[in-house]
Amino acid sequence: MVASDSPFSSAAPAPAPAPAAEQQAAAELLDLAAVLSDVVPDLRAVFAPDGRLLAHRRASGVGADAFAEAATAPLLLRHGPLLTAPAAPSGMLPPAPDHPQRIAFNRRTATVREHPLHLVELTALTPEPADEADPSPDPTADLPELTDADVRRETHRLSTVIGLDGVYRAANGVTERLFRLAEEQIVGRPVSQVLRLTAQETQTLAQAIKHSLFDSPQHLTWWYRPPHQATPVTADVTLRAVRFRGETAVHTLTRLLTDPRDPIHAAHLRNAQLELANFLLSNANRFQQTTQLLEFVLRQLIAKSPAIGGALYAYSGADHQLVRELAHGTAPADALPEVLPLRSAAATVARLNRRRMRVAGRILSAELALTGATTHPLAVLPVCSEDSLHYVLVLTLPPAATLQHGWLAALLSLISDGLNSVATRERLRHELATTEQRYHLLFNSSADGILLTDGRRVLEANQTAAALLGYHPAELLTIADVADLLPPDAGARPDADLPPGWRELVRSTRRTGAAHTFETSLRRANGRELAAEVRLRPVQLGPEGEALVQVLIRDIGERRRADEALLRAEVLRQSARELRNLLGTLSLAYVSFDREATILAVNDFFVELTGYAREELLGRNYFEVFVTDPAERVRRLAYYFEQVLGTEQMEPQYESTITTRSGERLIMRWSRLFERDQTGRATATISIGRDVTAGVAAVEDLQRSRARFQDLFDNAHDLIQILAPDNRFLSVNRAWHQTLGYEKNDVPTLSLPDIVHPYHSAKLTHQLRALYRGDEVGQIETVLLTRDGRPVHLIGSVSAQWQDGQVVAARLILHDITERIHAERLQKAYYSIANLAISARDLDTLYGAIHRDLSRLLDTHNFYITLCDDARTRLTLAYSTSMPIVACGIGESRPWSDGATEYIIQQGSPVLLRRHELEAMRDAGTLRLLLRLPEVLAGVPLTVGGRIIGALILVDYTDPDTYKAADLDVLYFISSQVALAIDRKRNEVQLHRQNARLNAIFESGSHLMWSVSPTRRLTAYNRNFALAFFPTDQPATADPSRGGGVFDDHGLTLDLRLVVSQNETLWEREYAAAFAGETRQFEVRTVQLDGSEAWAEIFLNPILLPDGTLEEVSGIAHDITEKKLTQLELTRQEELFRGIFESFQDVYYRSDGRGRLVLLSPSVEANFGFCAPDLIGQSGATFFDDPARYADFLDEVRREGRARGFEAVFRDAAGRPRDVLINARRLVGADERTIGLEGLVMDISPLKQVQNDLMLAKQDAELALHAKTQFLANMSHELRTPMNGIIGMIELLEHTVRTPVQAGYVETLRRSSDALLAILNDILDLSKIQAGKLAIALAPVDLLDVLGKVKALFANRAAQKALTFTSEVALDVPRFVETDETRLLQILSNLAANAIKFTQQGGVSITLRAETPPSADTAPPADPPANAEAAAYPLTLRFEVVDSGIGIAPADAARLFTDFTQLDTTSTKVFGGTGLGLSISRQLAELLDGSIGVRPNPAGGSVFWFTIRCRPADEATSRRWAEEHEESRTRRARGRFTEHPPVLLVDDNVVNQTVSARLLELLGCRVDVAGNGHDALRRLADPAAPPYAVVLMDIQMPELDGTETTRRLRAAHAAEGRPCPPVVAMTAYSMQGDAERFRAEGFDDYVSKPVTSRELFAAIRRRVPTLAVEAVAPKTDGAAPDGPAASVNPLAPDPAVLAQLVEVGGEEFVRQLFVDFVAEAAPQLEQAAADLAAGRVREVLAPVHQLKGAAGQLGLTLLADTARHLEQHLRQPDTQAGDVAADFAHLRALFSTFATTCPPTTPSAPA
Amino acid sequence: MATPTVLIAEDSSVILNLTKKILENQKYAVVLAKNGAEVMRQVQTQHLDGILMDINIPIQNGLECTRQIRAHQDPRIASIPIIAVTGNADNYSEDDFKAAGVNAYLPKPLDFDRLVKTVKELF
Repeated sequence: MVASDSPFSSAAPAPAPAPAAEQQAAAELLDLAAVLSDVVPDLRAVFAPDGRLLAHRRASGVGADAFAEAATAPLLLRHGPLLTAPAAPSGMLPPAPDHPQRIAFNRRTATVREHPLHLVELTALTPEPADEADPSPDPTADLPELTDADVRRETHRLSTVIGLDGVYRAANGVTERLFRLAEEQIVGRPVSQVLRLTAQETQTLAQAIKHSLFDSPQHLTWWYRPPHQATPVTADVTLRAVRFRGETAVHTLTRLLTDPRDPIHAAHLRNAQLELANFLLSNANRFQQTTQLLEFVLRQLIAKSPAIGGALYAYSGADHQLVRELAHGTAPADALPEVLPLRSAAATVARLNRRRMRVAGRILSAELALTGATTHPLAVLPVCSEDSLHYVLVLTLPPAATLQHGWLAALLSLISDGLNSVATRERLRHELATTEQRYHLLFNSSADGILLTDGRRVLEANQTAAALLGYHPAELLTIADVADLLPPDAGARPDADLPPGWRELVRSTRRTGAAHTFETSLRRANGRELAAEVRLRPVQLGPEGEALVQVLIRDIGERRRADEALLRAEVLRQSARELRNLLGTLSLAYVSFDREATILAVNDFFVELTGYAREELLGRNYFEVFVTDPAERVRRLAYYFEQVLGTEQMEPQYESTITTRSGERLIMRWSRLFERDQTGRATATISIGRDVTAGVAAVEDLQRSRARFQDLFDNAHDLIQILAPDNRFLSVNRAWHQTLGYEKNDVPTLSLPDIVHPYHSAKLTHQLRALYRGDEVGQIETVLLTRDGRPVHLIGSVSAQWQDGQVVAARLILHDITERIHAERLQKAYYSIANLAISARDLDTLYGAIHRDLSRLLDTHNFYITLCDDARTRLTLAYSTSMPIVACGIGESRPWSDGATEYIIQQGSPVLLRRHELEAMRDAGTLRLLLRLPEVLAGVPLTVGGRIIGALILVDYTDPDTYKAADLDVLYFISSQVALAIDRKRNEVQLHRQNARLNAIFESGSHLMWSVSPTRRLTAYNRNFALAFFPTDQPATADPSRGGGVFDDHGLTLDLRLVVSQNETLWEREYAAAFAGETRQFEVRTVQLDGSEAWAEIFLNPILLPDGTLEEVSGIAHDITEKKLTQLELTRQEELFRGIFESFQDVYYRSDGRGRLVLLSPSVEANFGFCAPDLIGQSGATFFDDPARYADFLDEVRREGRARGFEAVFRDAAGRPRDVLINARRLVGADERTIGLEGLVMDISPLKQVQNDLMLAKQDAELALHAKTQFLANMSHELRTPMNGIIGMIELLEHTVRTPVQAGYVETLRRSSDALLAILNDILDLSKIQAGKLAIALAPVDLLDVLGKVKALFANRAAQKALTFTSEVALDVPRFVETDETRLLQILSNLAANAIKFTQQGGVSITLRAETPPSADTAPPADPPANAEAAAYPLTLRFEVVDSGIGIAPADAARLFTDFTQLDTTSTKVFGGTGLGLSISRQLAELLDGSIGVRPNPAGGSVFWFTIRCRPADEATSRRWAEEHEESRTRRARGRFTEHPPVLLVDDNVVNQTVSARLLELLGCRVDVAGNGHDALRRLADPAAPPYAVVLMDIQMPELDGTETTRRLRAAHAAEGRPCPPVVAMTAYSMQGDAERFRAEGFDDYVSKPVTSRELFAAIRRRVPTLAVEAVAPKTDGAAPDGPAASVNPLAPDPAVLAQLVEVGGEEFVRQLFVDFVAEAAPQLEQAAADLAAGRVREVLAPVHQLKGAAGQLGLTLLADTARHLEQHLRQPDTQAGDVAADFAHLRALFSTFATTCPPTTPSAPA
Repeated sequence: MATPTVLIAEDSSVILNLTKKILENQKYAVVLAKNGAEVMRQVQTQHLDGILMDINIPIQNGLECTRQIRAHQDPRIASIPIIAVTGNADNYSEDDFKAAGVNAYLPKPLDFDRLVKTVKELF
């Protein structure tokens, strides 16, 4: 049964060559299985569906080969069909008929790369006791009897009976219920099937059953997952052997530890948790990759924790997402998405430090739950390195598995640190591998040595450099200064060929980047020098990196050595010559001969001594000359050539004989040395000697006397030897020969050192040397080696023989003490091994030490220690010195089989087997599995207290006599000690390992752990505990080797209660409870050593010893300070909030993301009658009266993020509508998503009611106001009509007065009517403004002109009260602006009139300045329209009217500008007026985009001011515009039509008819009156009627109004082809802009009522300019009480123009201009008159034009205007002479008047 | 040339004198023309830095003069700056002036300040 290399080839038909792809797939499946399965079977094999073996892999343990060969292959092949049949996934196979092996067999089918494959896993099982023919008495004989009733009586625990074949015999009801199986489904079926056990579990169970038969009842802690239940539970199983129904069986009682309140169960859970964590962590190093480890962890957690599924996610930092790597367990793929993007909040998890990992876990958990994919609770275990997240393990928990969550959390936290460190390790390893690999390859493969230095330290060195410099690469990096590589004296050597300071060179290279190359010698590690060429090159590490220097070292030693060799050869030659010269004069014999023994030189002394002539010696062979005996010559020649020249070594002292020429034999003592060439080769031998023949004679005398002693000598039992001083044997006795085994002829060639045991040689030599020196040497103890190398221990004495003061011989008499030594050794080994168990560090050391000790006793070239388990299922090779006799490596194991070891163990006694015996046993089949048959095998079982734990075996393959029966006794003698030592050590190691694991757990994590005794003394604590509680100078923590460790007896008397004295009673209470067996959990507040407050959560667990006693309590504390403080703060905040919340008057609410209310303040009852709790969960929509309004509300919140002052109508509890105001805002979660709303609801129903009432009142008031305004607007017409009559009549009356008294009456009348009209206009203006009907007409305005007009208006009035009236315009005010002149004048007039009215003395002045326009950068940018407006009207003008009047109190100032307000009722009478002026002014100023106000005049009186906004007008435009409105100026001129043009007046009002007709008649017109429209049309159509020059048409007429009448009129004329006379409208609707309207309605012009004769005249003249007129005598006007204007000559030049002209040229120049003007114009007008008279109308144009221009330039306005008027006429194409005659005459008349009234000599007179 | 020379074309001696005075105050040398023919003669007989041209002048009106000057073969003459002056701004559009080649125009009655300003800008 010798093994063959291929386990299957011998027995199986050669498998068909499988395609490579299939085999590849099979190999992958094996890899996969190795990774995925936590079971390690003895063999894994992969088969094709047709039974072909594709690949297999053996476990590395003992016996895998054998197992595969002997059992598996035939089994697999025999059961081939099983592989394709749907066999049970797991089970036991019947043993193969020819092989007693039992196999656990597990088959799975997988498809890898489309290849269907069968994976078979086989594990050898221990033969069951029943199968073994156990010779021992049946232990089951007196087992207790058990009945069915007994089994079923058990009602709390699972009670079953299992047969020894592993099949259920009986089960109780509890079992049936838990398994959910009927009795018949359990009984009769194998346990492994019912419980679905794996092969390993089955094996464990089988062992337990077996042990229960032989030993006491067995306890098992079992992880059991009941069917249909996701959570595994811990089961405590007791197995007890019983007699059941007449057979031996095992009764199992199982208690399910499901109750967490049960302290025992809790302890079990905790233990299980530690065990599992330990198991997972101890496996961490098994995996190459973290993912493999994590998958392993995941699978284990699913199998052994409540988790039912889970997935592993890899974190991708680039896009912040988790990508699922793999998933296991129950439907995890549905629940856990492929990719899980981390939102912003959770993304920070990646940067969280490890302390906060648990928080991170919760966030991730929430994140996953938010995805909504799963309803299962999740547990999340992030795997992080120091600073970043790498993986996340997500575990799916059963929906209701709350019971074990805490357990799981604790477990996860226990293993998290371990996983994290693995993750860190992998990351670092990966980084290192990728970045450094390539660099190092190049770096190290360089032929030159390369160093990298920063100028001082060596940062990097390649292997070549290390080799050149003789360092280990790592050592090089420890060199403090690169300059140390120079020899110490390098700098000092003046001839050194290295530059003065190579440190400076290195630094220069580093600084400047310059490269240097030089030769130098460097110091190697051993102090020798290395000749090297050194190159320095700059190196920059990275763009910003440090500047470093690369030092390249090239060994130039070879070159240097070649140079030196030449030199040395010369030196040698020289020194050889000198030596010979020296020797020549010596008084000693000197001879030198070469390698052929040819004599090269002799000295005189030698020549004299030998009697030869020098010539006879030189060139001859030394031995031929001086050794005469041929035999001796041959021997010495041989010695010389073989020994001396062959080894090139000589004894420095040498005795030899030479024969002189005379034949005398001289014994010479030579000192000899080689003469060597430069290569070191010996070229010649130099011998210097003296004649010692006389001394040797003494020895010869001794030899002669030897015969006498020979007999005694030879017959002695002791070993006697006589030595020459050079330790050659001169003589030995017979006992010597017998003991040491050397032949007689061996002796001459031997010397003592040759046979001394090397260990003892030095000592003996030393002793002999002392002897020769003359010292006393006592006893000698040494070891000589026999001829076959065996040591012989000897003890004895030595003495020397002296002759002439020189030692000539030494005698050693030695006694053989080997046996005694051997016995001593054996005893020593026995004790030594006994001690080893204690002293050996570990098992391997122990084995080595055992081996060493044993080797002192026996030949241990092939030495094995093999161990077996108690059940004898497996063998483990513990120690081996050579190729093992069992087929496995050291530390590996194999199944129990039929090897020699097994044989020895089974024998139970020492075994000595020779080759032939082994062969016999092998042939008999009792022994197999020997790889190679030894010649002899000695083995002894290792027995401890009757229990065999293994065997110790010695074999020898060459010499069957190596071991004898006596050796076996030795082995047996020490075997028990060896066994004891191994067993003890093994237990110790086991214990240490266990301790180390527990300690690792104990010290891992951030928890504080400790234990206390019942007296509350600390018995153990971990580092965290020490750090937390002990001052740093406490010895317990000062010693790092002990800090935090678990101490059996720590020697501290620290009372835990002192440490935590703040909570003494609490602790005491909790400890007491814990010592009573309860598990405690509580929180405490402590004060740290540094005084800070801390909170800890404490777990106290009773530590139950296996016997159930309780001696200690363990404590675990973890820091929950942060959590607790947050919690406390939260509570405080909550109380605060609650106070506010409950005292709300308005209703506070909060709703969730779906709009359902989650919080309502109690005030909802007071406000709406609802009870707050009833509403929780309802939608906010239920309150809204109008659902659409709710939608609006949500919309607003969504859009704006909040709702402010949102009004809505709610229904209260009684269903009544309530107006509410809602302020709400969106609540945003950590991930920016809306998580709900919160807001305040205010009941504003009462407020709303008031508001509604107010609104109604306001509407009423507005209606009333509107009615008033409308009324006033309507009144306008009604009031103006009678006023027309009054004013017209007064004017007419004026023409009829005859006496000054009458004139006075008329004047009074006119003034009254003017005042009345002013009041009327005020009221109408106000009503128009209020009705919004007052339009502003913007047009270019000359501000100087405006002020002039105001002055003209009020100068007179001021003069009457003896007041000054002045105006002032600032320089920066533009002259022309665009504004509404009329309204501006109105404001100014109002203010000026007021000022004058309330001022009694002093004066009134008007100032105008421009306010600084707001600059661009101070203008508010927020309001672009306003800005645009500001840009359009950039100018703000400020008018101020300053008076020195009665002044106004500041309190009254505000009321002043309101309607109908007069300040002093008493002064009303004094000052009169409507009180509307300021109100109107205010409104007008506002219309002009300005403001108005008043302030006291510091000098007394008031300053009324107002501003307007306008823009500067272009001057040219202004002038042109002004020209267009020139007509208004012509009104100043009044005249009379001389031709009495016929005029038709259309008016229905008789008074107006009369007034208008009379005024027209005064103007020289002939008037027809029509009473209405029809009448007017009739008259105009009447052929008899005169051709009217103009029709004056009232607008408001009954039946047919003016507009309609005009339209019909025009239509009629157009129909008849007649020209229609101009129609001038007469209207009371005097408004700006009306002109345009009337023109659009067909009127040619208009005059406003009340009409005046002046306006009528102007209008008629405008329309019919051809009418001849005559100026009304100024005197008439002058008589008018209008005053001072009448005194002005209208023909006089404009004073302003005049002033300007004077400015240009001076008065004389101006006078000359006027002279020129008259001189030039007069003849032209004469000529023109002549032309006109002759009908040459065209000729008139030029002079008129020129006159107009010149007059205009000189400020002669009237002349210029008149000329312009005429010119326009003349330009009409069809103008005839007659048309312009009157105008021309008028012009001429005016000119001649000017020429006469304004004599050129006094042009400035009017000013 | 230290003193710029300006031609004033104006048939009214009053305005002529006045304008002359104003320009002389501003250190201009002034030559006069009372009609279009004189303008054309003056233009060709001496160097002019600018012309203040009344439109309403006999023989050839100001616009015609302007057109002739602008069409003149001597580029020095054709490029003389011309300011038109008219009391009948309504009769002409700005386009008319531009078409004729006038550089600027002033309405009558002349605003002295504006006259000075315009002249200084152009001449």
